[in-house]
Amino acid sequence: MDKRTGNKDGWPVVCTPVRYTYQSVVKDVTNRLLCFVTLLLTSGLLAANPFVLPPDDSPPMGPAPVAQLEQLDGLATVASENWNVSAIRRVLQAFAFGGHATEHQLQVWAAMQPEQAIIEMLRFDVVNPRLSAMDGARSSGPTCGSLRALQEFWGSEHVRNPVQQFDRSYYGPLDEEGYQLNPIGLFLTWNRAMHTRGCNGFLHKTAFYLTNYHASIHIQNTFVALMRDYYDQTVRALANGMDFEGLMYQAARSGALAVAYGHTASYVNPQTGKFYGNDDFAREYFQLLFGIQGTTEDPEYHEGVTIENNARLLSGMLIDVEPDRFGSQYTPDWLVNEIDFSDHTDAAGRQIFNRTLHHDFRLGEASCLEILHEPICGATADDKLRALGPVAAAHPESMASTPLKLIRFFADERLTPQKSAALQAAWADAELDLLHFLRGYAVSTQFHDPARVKHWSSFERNLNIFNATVLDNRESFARPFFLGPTIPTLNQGGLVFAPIRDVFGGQTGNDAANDRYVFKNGWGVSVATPEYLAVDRLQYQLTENDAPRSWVKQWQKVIPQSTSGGYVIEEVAEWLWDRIIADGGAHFDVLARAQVYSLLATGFDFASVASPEDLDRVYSSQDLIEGPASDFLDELAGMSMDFADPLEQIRVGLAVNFISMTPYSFVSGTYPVPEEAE
Amino acid sequence: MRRRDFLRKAIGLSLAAGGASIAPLSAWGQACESSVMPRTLVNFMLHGGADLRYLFMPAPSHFDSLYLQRIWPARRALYGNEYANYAQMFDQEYLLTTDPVSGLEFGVSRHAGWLKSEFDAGRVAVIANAVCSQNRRHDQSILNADTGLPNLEILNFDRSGWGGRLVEYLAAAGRDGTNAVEIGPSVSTFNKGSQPGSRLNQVVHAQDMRDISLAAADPDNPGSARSVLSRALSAYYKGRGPEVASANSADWPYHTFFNHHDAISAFGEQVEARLNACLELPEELAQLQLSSPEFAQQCRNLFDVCQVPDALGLGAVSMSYGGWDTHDNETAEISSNLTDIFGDDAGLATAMNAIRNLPEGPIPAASQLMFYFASDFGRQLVVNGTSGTDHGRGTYSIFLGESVRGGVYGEMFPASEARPDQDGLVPLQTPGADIEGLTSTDQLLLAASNWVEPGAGEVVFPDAGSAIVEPGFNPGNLFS
Repeated sequence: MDKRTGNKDGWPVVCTPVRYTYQSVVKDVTNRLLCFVTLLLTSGLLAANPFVLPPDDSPPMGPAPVAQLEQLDGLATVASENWNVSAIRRVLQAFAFGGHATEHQLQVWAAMQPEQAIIEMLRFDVVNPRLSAMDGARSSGPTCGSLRALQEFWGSEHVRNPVQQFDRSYYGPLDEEGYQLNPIGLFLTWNRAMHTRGCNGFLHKTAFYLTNYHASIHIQNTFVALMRDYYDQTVRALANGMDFEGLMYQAARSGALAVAYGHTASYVNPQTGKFYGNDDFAREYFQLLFGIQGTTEDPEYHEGVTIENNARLLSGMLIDVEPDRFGSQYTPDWLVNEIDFSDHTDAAGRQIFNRTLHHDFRLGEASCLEILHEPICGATADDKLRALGPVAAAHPESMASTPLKLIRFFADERLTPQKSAALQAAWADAELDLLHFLRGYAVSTQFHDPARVKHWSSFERNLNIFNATVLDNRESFARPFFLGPTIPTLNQGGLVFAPIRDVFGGQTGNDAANDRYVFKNGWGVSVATPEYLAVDRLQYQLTENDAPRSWVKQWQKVIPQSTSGGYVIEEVAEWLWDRIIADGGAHFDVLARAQVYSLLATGFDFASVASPEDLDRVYSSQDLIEGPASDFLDELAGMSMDFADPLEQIRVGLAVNFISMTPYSFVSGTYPVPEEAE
Repeated sequence: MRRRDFLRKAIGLSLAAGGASIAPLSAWGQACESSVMPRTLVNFMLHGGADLRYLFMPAPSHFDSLYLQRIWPARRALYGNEYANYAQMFDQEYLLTTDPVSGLEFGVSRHAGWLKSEFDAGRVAVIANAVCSQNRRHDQSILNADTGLPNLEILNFDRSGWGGRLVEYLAAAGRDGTNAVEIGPSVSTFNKGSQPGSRLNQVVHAQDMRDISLAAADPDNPGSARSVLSRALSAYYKGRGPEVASANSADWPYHTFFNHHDAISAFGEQVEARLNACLELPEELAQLQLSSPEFAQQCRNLFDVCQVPDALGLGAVSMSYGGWDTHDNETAEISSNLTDIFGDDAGLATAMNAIRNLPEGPIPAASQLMFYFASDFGRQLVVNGTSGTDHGRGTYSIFLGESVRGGVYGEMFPASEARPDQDGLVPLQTPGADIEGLTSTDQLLLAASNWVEPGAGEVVFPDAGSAIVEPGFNPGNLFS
């Protein structure tokens, strides 16, 4: 019993409608989402029904690209013998939340040269069918390039909308009163996009990094419309091939950042030349967007000239208002992300003097400010930001730190001086081409080094596991939102667009690893709510008048059969382990095998079947390497699964729950297991 | 054996055998034993760089009339256009108090009524012109504050915090099992120990003291999925943990998770059971409504920490409150923050009142707590063009506790801020100027650590001896 709420489940049982206030949105979304879970889990929604899947109508793959990646300075390409399915899974987990490639596709990539395969694997196209094929009619379609479009589609009554009736209002753009844009819908939509086939996980993970970690802002400071526009604009820019400098320029000139940091109100009095504003983003532009701390600069110059002048540069950035935008009545939703830097009248009839209120506006293009020892000239803040971008991107501190920030986020938190130097050389060689740099790293010996260590953030860990567990879009859309990754991730400290350090970014892998509540709540997912990963059937309606539809899990569609044609426990276990952990079985020790074999073979833990007189017996590795328990384990390993038995789906689900809570699900690394423990 | 037979047999055995062999959690239940509350430092971090010059302002009767003349135009924009003059503003926004040491009158923001009461009761020390970092960058300065190393220039969070070093000292001095207890949402660097790869060995994360244990098997249903998975995972961690502990190097990344399991298993059930036998949360704490629900939870946790200090191995506590990066609209933001933390009947007032009402053990728990309020850095003196203040360096440090020798230390409103410097610039008239840091916070924390355990300060802050201190101020006199 929770003594605070009087509720034995620990959550309020009455779902009170709440008008969103952005200061309380994080708390509010937690309570609301979990409140609905509490109510709905008891509503009979999870009914069981037999079901037959329709034939697969996935579109055929596109023509095979023939391009090959050009190797970057500092990075050597991984040897072919180390390029295998496990290596490919590791790439996809690091860069694409695991992706949705088929087992066949993984084999095809493993047979290719890494430099060729990576071009197919990591692309910034809105849809990359080899990584995540549009799954028949049950896809998001081309709307995957925009959260706004996805919200409008998934929240609609469109005849092709695959979202079930029950869920639609949660994804819709407006809140239930139709008053304002709905932050909960945005959170849910992003998470669903990450696990919907047809959406490019690599594109979105990169956009997630840029907007939630690198040039990070918090929805509390921007409101929904600007945050969503900022994200969508970033996705579009990546898809259009914009380089790193272009991406930073676009972020710096955006209304979202101007509102989040407050420099939208900065101006220079055209009569007196006096500046009115703050230096917040003037400082963070260098520190966060380009990694320039000023440590190689004279401190007085950096503080007194570069930062102060950059504050003046950021004048004349008032953003437009478009009344009734998105059908919202809430004025912050009317703010327009794309700043018009001219003197003009906006859609609300306001006279805006972004040109006149900029520094030295009378000088026009000859209006200059000294920043980073260079004259930065232009008639507007936009012109000057365009001029400053190349200077900042080429600054030695930026060249040194930007590649390290990228790789620490995606793949390696223990960069040695040697690794760092190699990455810096590669970044210089890539000439600000983000895609080239990430691809080059993803097939490098540095990424595939067994000593590499990357702790997963809660976003990454939960999405990697979920994408390995949910087998197709039928399952994805059959699951109501509360059986998706949003709530587990939230309970483990991760909420998209609400970075825990605000402009300094979201939860890192180190944060998650060092937080015992992340571990405790992850344990709770596997133990207290095993249905999250093990649900085997669901019933739902697409529309109110639609006949109930059913979905049943079919693990046998993806689990490879043994050469003899059956499903041998040992082989299924090893495949399942690698699908989730992606270590090629390096850590699949005998104690883990005992539990997974037993769960797959019986649906019970090892002690329940090997020593039922002592359910809490703890076995050592030695117990299972020789002696009676070892023989028993061998017996389990050799058994076959029979997927005619519907309970096999549950047993696989239990094994997934176990594997996904082992220590190896929290870290990407391929440390070899010490021989003596094998 | 055919698998079908095997399954039937296994399931039957499990169901028959399960119930009796699983001890119910309630077996942990014990009477709430009062335990001795040790002297405990509470590091309270104000994330974002708090403008504490807003919290304390000179009285209209301030002896330095030039200072008054110049601070009003420098700060006026924070208070809108409502006030005709400084005296009118002060009367509406501040509570007048007097420094018992110097007799200086000054104002404490009305939003911090409880803090003013504590100051008047002699339980608050305000150290003027304190400085904890040499830069104006949030991340670097937070690291400087958490590590207690004001001159650290390397941005590497894999370092020990001064709280972590303090509990290591306490353990070495005979208080075995001493921990730093984080009661906020994430473990800060302050808590971390000095051993790379094992920096959390002496850290307890108590984000919610009443929900701190792992989901366990259901004793009434040993065949349920919950029970099966609980046993499978527990058996794996318990069996494999000891094997990998010695077989791998200290920086093996998976140690962390075996350690989490062991720590939560050993700790969580025991703490929860102890708390269940102790006082329920007082109504005013249970129902505490603040702008920051997260901080309200920290206040509840603080109360519970004081109920079971021995179960936690209490050595130091870490709390935090964010939202102090007030570049614009400062008054609204800082007022809300101050009210949550220091307001009458708000967060700390409610928690400390409840702690003061705990059944008295050998030593009242409230008397053993010492709060230290830190922030990334101070802010600039002159208000910027968006009704806020930009990053500075110097600030006020605040200690709060019954063992504090209350009063103001250092020059609270430096006369030099109102007069031309060597370049002819008057700080209170110069955008970019900040409070000059004259006392390094590691000097303060050295003294505070020695209050916890004599001799600790010199070990936890080995370089503090050479750090700057404002002339005329002896940090050793801060605590009784």
